[in-house]
Amino acid sequence: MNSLVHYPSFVDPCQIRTLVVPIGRWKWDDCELALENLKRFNEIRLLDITPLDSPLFNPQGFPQGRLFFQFNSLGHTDETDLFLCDFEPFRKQFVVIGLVNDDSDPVKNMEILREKYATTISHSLIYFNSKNVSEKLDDRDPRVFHIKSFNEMEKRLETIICDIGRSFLLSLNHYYSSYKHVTLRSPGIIGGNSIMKMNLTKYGDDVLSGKNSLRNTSSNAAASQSANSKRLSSFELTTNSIKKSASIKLASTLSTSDSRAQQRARGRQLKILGNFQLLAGKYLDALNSFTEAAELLHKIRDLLWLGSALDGVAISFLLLSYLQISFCIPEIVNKLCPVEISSPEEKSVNDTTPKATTPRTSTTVTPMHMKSPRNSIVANVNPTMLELEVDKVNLPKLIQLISNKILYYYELSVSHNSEYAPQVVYCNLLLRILTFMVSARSATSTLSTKVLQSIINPQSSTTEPLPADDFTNTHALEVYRFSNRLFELDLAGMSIEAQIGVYNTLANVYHLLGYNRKKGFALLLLLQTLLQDKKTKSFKWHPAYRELLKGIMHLYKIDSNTEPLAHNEDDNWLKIQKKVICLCRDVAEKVGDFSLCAKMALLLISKHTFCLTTDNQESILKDYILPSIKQGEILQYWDPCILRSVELRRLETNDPTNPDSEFPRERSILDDQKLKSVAKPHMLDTHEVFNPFKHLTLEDDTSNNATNKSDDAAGISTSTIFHKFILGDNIELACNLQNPFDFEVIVTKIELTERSREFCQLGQNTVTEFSPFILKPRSMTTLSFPLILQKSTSSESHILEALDISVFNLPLQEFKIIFDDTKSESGMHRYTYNAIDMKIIPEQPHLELINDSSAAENCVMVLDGTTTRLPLRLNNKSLGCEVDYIKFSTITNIEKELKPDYWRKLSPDKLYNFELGLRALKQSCIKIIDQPTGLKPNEGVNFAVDLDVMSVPLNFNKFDLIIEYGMKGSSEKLMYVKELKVTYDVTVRKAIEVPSLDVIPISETFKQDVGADVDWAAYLQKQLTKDKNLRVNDFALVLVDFRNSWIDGITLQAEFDDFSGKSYMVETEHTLRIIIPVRKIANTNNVLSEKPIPTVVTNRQFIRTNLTDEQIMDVRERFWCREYILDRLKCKWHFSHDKNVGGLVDARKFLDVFDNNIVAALYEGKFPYHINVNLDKESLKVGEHLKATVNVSPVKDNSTLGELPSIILLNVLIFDNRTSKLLSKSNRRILYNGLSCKSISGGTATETTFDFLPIETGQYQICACLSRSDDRDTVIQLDHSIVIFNVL
Amino acid sequence: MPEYFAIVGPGDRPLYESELGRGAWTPEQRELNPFVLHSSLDVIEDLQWQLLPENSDTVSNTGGGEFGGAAQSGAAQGGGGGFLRSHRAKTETDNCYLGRVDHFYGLAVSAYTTYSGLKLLMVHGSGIVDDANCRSFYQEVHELYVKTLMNPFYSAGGSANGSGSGTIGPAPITSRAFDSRVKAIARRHLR
Repeated sequence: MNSLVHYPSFVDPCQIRTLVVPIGRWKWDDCELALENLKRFNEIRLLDITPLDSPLFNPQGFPQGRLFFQFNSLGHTDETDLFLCDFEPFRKQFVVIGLVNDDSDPVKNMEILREKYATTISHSLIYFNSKNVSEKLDDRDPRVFHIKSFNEMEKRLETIICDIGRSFLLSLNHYYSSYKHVTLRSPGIIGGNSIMKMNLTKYGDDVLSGKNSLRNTSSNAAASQSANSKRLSSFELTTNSIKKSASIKLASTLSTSDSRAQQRARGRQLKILGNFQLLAGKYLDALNSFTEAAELLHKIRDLLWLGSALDGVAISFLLLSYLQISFCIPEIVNKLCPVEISSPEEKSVNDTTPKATTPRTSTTVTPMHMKSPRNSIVANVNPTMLELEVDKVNLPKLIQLISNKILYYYELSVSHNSEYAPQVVYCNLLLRILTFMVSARSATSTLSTKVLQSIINPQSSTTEPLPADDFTNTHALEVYRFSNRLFELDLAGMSIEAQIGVYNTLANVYHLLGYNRKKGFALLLLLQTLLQDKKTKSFKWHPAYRELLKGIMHLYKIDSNTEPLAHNEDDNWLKIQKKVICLCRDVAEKVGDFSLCAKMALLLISKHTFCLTTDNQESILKDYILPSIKQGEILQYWDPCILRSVELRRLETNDPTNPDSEFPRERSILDDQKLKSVAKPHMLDTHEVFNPFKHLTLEDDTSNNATNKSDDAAGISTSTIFHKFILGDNIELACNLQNPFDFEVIVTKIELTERSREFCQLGQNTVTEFSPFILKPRSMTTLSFPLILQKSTSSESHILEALDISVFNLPLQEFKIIFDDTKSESGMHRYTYNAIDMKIIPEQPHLELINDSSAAENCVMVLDGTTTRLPLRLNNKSLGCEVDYIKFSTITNIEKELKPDYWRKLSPDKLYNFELGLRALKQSCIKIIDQPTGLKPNEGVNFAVDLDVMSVPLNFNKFDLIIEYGMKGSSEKLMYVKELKVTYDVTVRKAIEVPSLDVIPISETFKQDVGADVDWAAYLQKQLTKDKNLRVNDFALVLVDFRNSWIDGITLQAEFDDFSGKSYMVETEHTLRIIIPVRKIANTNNVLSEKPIPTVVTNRQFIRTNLTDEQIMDVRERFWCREYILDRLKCKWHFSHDKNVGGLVDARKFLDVFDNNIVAALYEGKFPYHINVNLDKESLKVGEHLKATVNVSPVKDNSTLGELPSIILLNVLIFDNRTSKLLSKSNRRILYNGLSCKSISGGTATETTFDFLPIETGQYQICACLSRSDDRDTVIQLDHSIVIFNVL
Repeated sequence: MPEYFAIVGPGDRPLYESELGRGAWTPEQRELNPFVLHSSLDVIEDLQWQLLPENSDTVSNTGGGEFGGAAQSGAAQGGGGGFLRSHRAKTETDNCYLGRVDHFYGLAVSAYTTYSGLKLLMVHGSGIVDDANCRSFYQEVHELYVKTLMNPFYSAGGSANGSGSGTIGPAPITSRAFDSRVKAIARRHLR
């Protein structure tokens, strides 16, 4: 019998216990199949059985009857229930069927069966597929059957079982005859003290504290009865009291003990006969026997047997209803359990199920009712207690009333010394009633065929929980409350089989009620019971165990996935789950299912680590996990988060602060077509609306510096770290391993994954099976290995995301790098992974720069205005790689410090000056001489840098020499470019500076002999003589100060256009002023104020100067004047003691913008009028008349200075030439003939004549001045062309 | 006698558990207590939908019968189902108290259910449930729990990592103040 799946039925006593024994070589599945086939024919009609010669058990006597076989494959020892064989004979194992599938001798087999199962009354053999066994045996022995094939089984099996039934009936006849003359004893008398007495404990008592008082007095039981069976109507309560008084009277009438003993023996005999009749299928006879027995036993108050007889009556009722045979409710039943009679009208209303056809059928058999011998008593009884037709009563309710009565009698019997109900009997009854209540849950007043079927054959009941609507008559809570009565018993004292039966039935009932938690609890108690069983051999492994354990795990919501939980020690639910798993593990261990045991241990260790103590964890490892690993039950390490991080480090680097500086930059090699296609998007499309973000988007496309990738498609969240290595680098791989457990974890191997091994390999792997690495309990340990790079990854990169790790000698397993194991807030990903994106680039050449000059390392001191050469040498240090790409570039400190918008705040003239300096820096300052184009391995090349500092701005002090180089090699797509950068500090020492410059007009004419050795005067005279049209006023003198800032004397020579001055020697720290004659800028050809200032950088947009037009014109004039001077002024110098050392002076960087005076002196077109003063004679005597003619003509009709006034005043001013003092209008030196001031027309050219009369000798200057009025402030123009005359 | 008290949230997750009363449990019993409570949840869930009788003056029983007297009346009405013992109780919190709901050997289990579906349960070692005191105890603990809910640091809605299988529910109550107050209430009402 499979003890785990047996579900008791209320009508168990009518079932013939049949043991099926396999003989021969059966496979488990075949045997199960054969048993299942037998079970299909467990119900045999008596009609089909050949008549036999027995007055009591002849099937012909009641052809409607049935034989119910209960086929079991597990043996049941009759010895344990020996004390019950008189009281409940149906417990006996009546039939043994041997299933044979080999050719063994039937006679021998039969003998063995008889020997082994001596107490069994009927033995049979069924041969399957055995051809050699002669069929003659069939004829000889009617208990041996033969089935040729499985196909034949269908046809023959029913016949065979009918024959077995007949054989059983024959044997039963013999068996019963042995009981006929025996005094039947109660179990308590047979078993003595070894029988477990029913031990009722009300739930108010404290069982657990050890005060197990035997409160089984009748009063207590009665109290419990009243408390628990509220369904008893008040009507019954009153009749109970009547019955009690009647019973006492009856008892008193039975005066003699002899008659009592006789009656008891008779009653008991009838009861046991009823039991046998139930087994034999003669239910009407059984009902009669039980009724009679009940009447007799009731009279003599034999409570135990009376209860059992009533039990038989109830079973008979159900079976007769099942067979649809109408019967009458016996009087005694009516008397003991009065039931309300429902009128037919009421019934028709209540009966909602028309198919619930009970009793009323054509086959009405009148029961052979045996009236009680004491007619007088019957006569006294109320007429309602007489026999009733069954269809007038509510049968389910009646059965329940009878059941309660039986329980009541059993509880009462406990007070007796020997005539008490053993606990196993009481418990069994409770279980049977419970299953009846569940089956009859939906029955209202009658029992439908379906319900009856489920009562009689409960195995066929559905495995799904019953819907709540089913509980119409019997509330689920009521069923549950009834089931709780089992916990009033001391179940632990019962046999292990009985306990398993109880818990299993309870679990089934709870399942049907939909109480899954209760079911889980019942199964838990079942497991505990199994564990407490000392006889380990009594329970062998059965597939049902695994199902049972899985069921419990499911009920307690234990996920069999061993993925560790998020850490939370406060979750009490996990503690409950842990206990359940522990229990399951122990059971699995006990029944020898090591695979399941290992699984449970893994569940514990991985999911409930923090609920376990250190000892627990160690014992789980030692006792379960390690042995399971050895046996191959566990194939994977259970902690997926063992690898917490992996780091890669370069061990050797030249620049520890910035190790990435050594890496070459990646540059793609593009062919011409590609270049064009790439260049295209950058070209401006004139039709396109300006898109300020266009550049940005292009940059984004090319940038690949994303640090985080989220691979949503794969549902994995990964963060990536980038690493770059060069082939041949020394790399260290450091992996961080975790051990969250309280025991040591032994790492037996660490290896790169197969994908990674293509590019790199672990060198000196010290972790092996023989020298494992031990992770200390609850620790994070870092392990380091040298990593040998084997192959470059070319343009792609390799992603290192996992390592192969073997733990506890388990096979190598890939573990991903876990970054974070807490569930993300979105709940999408359980883990966040880490990955290392490593790029291995091929070996690269390495250049070094050697300074060949004697100068200090990277420091150069140069003299301003000179050119210096720095000889250098470039070596390719690499022995294997050549440099086939090399590019030189320089950048100065000025360019570096330049802000992108430096030009915004500068005025155009200053900007031009500044950018001119920048251009000089870019184009002429630094030049690379003898540039190499490539270097072979280990080759050295000489080259030089020329540094020309003449035109560089004053703040130039540093420049970087940048050499980009690389190896194209065979790669067609990519080239790696390295950069060699050397910074030179430059100190520019000043030689000749130009602190100031001034321009003065010339007013005097020179005599021939004056300018002989004065270079500028000689030049002027030469010019004047060369061109007669020229006047001395057309020239101006530029006074330039040259300062020698060098430590030696310097000889310098200035030049301007075709003027070449003399050489002058300037002492150190001295300043020399050199006069340079320049021709004034003529007004005729170019109007400076209209000439825009040129720009060095063209196409610059959005320049706004914020200047007014006048200011712009002013700036332009000053700019062009400056340009006029600086463009032409040249000055060469050399050391006075060494002519080889010399240079040029760039006055531009010293001189700022010219002021207006210089511009006025230099540029004629500065003023609106052209004034020309002419004297009739240059020398005269005192008293002679002097006539001065002043020609005033406007420069242009529309002057740029605005509208000219129509009338202006022309003043003539006379100065003393020696003192340069202005003579006042009335003085005693020169007399004016008329006025010195005349009004003239402003718009046209006029000629005005002034007459003077000098009255004192001297030298005078005369000049004209135009003004708007007499006021000084209204001066329009003062003529600089001063005319000198002498008064002798 | 000792008592074992627990607050059970959605998904049968214990939010709080404590041993109250005098005396101590045996180690075996201490292990069994959570299971006894857990199995009683089935009965409570069945009971909480039972209708209260129309004219019942009180839901209390005097310690004799099980299911707080209400179940019997509910059963008498023929089931039918209603909303959480309906509104017929005298006060709002009266119908939350279910009284004695279950027993296992000598242990009794009493229960109290809140309108949010939270269940407060207690295993009584004595097997006797003093309804008057028990009701007061439950009501005060309920009040205390409501105050705990108002704590901004307590996650009543659900903790992502608080539950293993990903079920969202209130976080376990770990506050020591809550624990000491529950024990103080127990000292006042349970003996």
